[in-house]
Amino acid sequence: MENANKKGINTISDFEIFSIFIIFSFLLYSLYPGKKLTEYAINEDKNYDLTEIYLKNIYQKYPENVDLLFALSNIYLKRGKTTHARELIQKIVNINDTEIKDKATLYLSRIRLYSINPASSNFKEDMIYLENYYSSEPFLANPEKEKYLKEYASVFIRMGLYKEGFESFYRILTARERSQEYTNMVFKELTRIMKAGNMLKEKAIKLSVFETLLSKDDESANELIEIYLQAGKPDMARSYSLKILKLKKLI
Amino acid sequence: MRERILFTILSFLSLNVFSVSSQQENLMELSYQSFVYTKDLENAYLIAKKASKIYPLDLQWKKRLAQVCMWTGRQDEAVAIYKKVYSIQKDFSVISPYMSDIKNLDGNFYEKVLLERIKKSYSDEELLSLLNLYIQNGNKEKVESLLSENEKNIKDKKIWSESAFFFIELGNLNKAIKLYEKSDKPKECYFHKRAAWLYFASKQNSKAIEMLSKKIDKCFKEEEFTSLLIDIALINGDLKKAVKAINLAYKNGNYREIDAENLFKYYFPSQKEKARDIAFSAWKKFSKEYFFQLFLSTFEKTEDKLKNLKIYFPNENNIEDFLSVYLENFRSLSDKEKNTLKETLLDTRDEDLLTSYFFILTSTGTFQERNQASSIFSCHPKMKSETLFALSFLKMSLYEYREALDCFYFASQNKPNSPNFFLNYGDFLKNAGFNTEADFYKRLAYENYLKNPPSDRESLAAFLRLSMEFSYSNNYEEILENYKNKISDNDYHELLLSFLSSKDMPEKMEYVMRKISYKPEWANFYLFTHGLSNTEYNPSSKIEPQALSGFYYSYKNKPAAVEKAWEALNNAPDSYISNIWKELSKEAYPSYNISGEYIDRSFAEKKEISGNFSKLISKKVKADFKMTFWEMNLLSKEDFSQKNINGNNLYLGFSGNYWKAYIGWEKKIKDFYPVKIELNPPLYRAKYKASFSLNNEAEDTFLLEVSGKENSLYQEFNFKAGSDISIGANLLLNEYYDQNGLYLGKGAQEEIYFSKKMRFYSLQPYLKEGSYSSSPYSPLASAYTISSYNPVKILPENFREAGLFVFLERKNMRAGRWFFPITLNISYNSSTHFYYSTYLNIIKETRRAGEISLNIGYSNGNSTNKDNLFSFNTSLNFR
Repeated sequence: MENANKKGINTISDFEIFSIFIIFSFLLYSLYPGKKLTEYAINEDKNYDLTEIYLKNIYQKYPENVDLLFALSNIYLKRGKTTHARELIQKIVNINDTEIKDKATLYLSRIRLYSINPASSNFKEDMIYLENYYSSEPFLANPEKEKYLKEYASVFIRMGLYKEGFESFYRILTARERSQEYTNMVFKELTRIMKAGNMLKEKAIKLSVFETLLSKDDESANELIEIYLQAGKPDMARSYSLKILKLKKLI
Repeated sequence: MRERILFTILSFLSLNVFSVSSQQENLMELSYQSFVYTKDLENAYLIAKKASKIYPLDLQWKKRLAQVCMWTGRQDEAVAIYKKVYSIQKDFSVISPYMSDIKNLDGNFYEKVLLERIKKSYSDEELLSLLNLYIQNGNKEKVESLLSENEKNIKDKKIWSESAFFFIELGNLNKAIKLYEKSDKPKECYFHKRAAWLYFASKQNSKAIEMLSKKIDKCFKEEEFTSLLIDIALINGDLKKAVKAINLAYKNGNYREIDAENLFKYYFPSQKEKARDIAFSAWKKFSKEYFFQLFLSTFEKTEDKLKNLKIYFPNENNIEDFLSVYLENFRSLSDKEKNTLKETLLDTRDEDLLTSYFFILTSTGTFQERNQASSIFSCHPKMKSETLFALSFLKMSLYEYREALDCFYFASQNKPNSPNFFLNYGDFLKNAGFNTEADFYKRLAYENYLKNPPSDRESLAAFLRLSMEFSYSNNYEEILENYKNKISDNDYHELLLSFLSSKDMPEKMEYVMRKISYKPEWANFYLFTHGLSNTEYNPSSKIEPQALSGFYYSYKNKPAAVEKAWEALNNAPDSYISNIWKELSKEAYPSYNISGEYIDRSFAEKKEISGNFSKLISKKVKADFKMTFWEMNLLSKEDFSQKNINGNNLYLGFSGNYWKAYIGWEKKIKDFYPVKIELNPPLYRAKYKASFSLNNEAEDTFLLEVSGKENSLYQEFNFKAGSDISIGANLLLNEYYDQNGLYLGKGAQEEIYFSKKMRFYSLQPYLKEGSYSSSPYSPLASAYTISSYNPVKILPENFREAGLFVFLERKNMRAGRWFFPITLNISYNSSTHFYYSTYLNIIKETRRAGEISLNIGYSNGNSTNKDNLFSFNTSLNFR
């Protein structure tokens, strides 16, 4: 190109340079997130450390944004910073808004969930609180209840508290009548804990009390049969299968 | 926008429908699993069938249904499903696990599938499967076409071998062999054996042998293989191959009895050792007595047999059995064999065998044998009772009563105080001649029985026997009657008859005997001796002929004794023929004799043939008739007036128990008529014989026989000093006459001798003296001499002679065996100086007291003429 300049030959015209500038400016403008940045940060579910820094900065800029507060609080939970999370949530507990209040209660429950310690003297109390909360009407009304229920089970699994987790979910399932949907959700998480804790053989027999309850849902019924089979209880699997098949008039 | 809404609705619906369908299918699958796990196969079948109906395109369910059909016995349905699945999927892997089931249930489909597979993608495995199907169905054509179509592709040699075995079983030998050659040749032994069998069946024995011989080194461990080769080779006469095969089988131990026998026979003539080993091994293997006998037959001598028994069977318990065999045949053993047997018995120290040995010796052994055994064996309290009893009998037979009693006492030591012992001991003592002691012990037995009445039948019978002897009861018959049911019938009758005989009541005995079935021999004899033989009962018909013979003989009824002896002789076994019967028969039964003689002397030879017939003509008199023809050739070198001379003579004789008399006609140059009387009256431990003859042929010289005659008086006295020693003396007085009756002189010969019999020979030294005195007319003797033989001696010269006779012979001769007695005589004679003679007899005595004999003799010099004599005589006696 240097050789070309020396010879005085033009490689690109001024118009062409201008046009390229205009195109790139448009592209940058159209692709820049702008106001969507906050939304992205709130929904970010990876890179918790970077997200934490980013959310903190945004929250300082927009302290009135409740969603940011919940998001940051969520990140703190994920990173085990329950004290920070509680401090944040305490700020909005007293806001006179039902939706925010319910969400704050949910977060406080989650904070308590993440804080449980079987060695602590409050463990039993915590467990009773959590079981009550995850069976409560406000939680059942939460459209994301499946996600949080899964989180509830995951915490037990992560901490290796399979027995406690099983007992807790078993109690929730037997506590009182609830929707079929929620029953299925709880049963699903219950079986997840059982499988993770390798408790199929030991606990499968306890599930027989839910046979009628679960027979209304195909997936759950199948799950129960499968558990029976995996637990080495083919006779139970057979009798339950027959029950379901007859119910479905397949046999 | 409308399409988007429609798409969304349809998507939702389809998702929902598929979700429901998926859960249902999942449920069915889980249920199926739970049914299978719990073996609830009927529900498994129902659910699989339902699922197959709901999901007709799902092959997995079809497979499950087919599987559960198999399990529940619905094979036809299963195969139908498999066929359907295969027709849809054309995937062999789907049905491959079930091919064996399909083969069993639908052979055609199985065949079709495999044929498709082989055509599409050839594999040895599938070809083999199809081949096996055809083989199983026996479809020869299909097997052949399958092999020919795929010949180039076949890599697995098993296909060829399977086919080869198929064809060989069909009997197609050529095809089978061709195919087998292509294979890796498995089960060679079986194949070759089968092929050989087919060759054999088609009478191609050589090919069969060749087929088997190829593999015999490899297959000799199979009994059937070697047996087949052996049998065919033997049938074909191929001894070499048969022997090779038998040898292999023998080495391997899988031979049959017939093989061992054949191999034994093959080696026996040339390799006795090997034959022996074979017989021994076969005996070990088959435990057949026959092989043991074959084994023994490899030894020529019995002592070798016995010695080798010890070597071959050192630890065999049944060596006693083998020795028993020898003991059973003891009578026919040679002395050497008997000796070896004795040593073997001593080595084995088996008391059972010794017991048999003692019994056999007692009943059949010679004095020396018994004596020898008795000196070796003495009784010991630790010996078995049976052995001690046997030994006691042996010793008793030798009159060694003291030792015999000791043996008996030791033998009975087990029960010294029992009445049975006292009774047996008493009986024994009685037999031994100790009557007082015998009475004492028998009485002791009786008293014991009285104290403790016996309960068993035998002891009770013994007690009753003693009662008869010691109770002095007059009502013994009543006592016996009381015990009738407690003792055996035979014992009862025997005791009753004993009692009646003791009371001398033969008539009553006869009455009893007629009633009962058990008739003791002694009772018959008793009745017979009491003159009851001709009664209704006729006991003589029930008595053994030898007993009657003895009875008649003792009562001087010789013809009756002879008749019974003859009967006994005809009925008894060889070994039981006693000399008494023989002698009786010899004396009394008509007998015939034909004999020939040849004599060669220094100057003449004589040939003679004679016949004799004798018969008992009255109870006590036997007649004899004898006729002889003779011819003498005088040897030309001597100066004889005649070259030959012949003559004949006839004799008629009569004899009784103690006398003989005969008259004769001798035709020589001049006829003369001899008369002779002989007496031998019976004396105690001595014999006396006297004979007187007139006009007898001169015995002293050969020439006198033809030229003179003599009158003689002969007396002999013989005293028996012991069982084997005798002393005797004889005196012969002669008067000599010429043929015209001119008295020539007289002479006397005295002899004294001593005789000692040993086991195998007898010795008889003697002294003899002859003194003669001629009449003054002696030189005038008008002898019709036939020669001028020098020196001619009309009368013998005076002489003195000392000599020794040696008789080599066995004491007891038995029928059926050859004997070779030899007589040797050596003497010194003052007239003719040294003299010796030797005679060899070859004799065989026949069963019925007949005899065949040959006699060869040679002598040099005798008391009156010094010349050599060779004689040969043969004789045949028969009845």
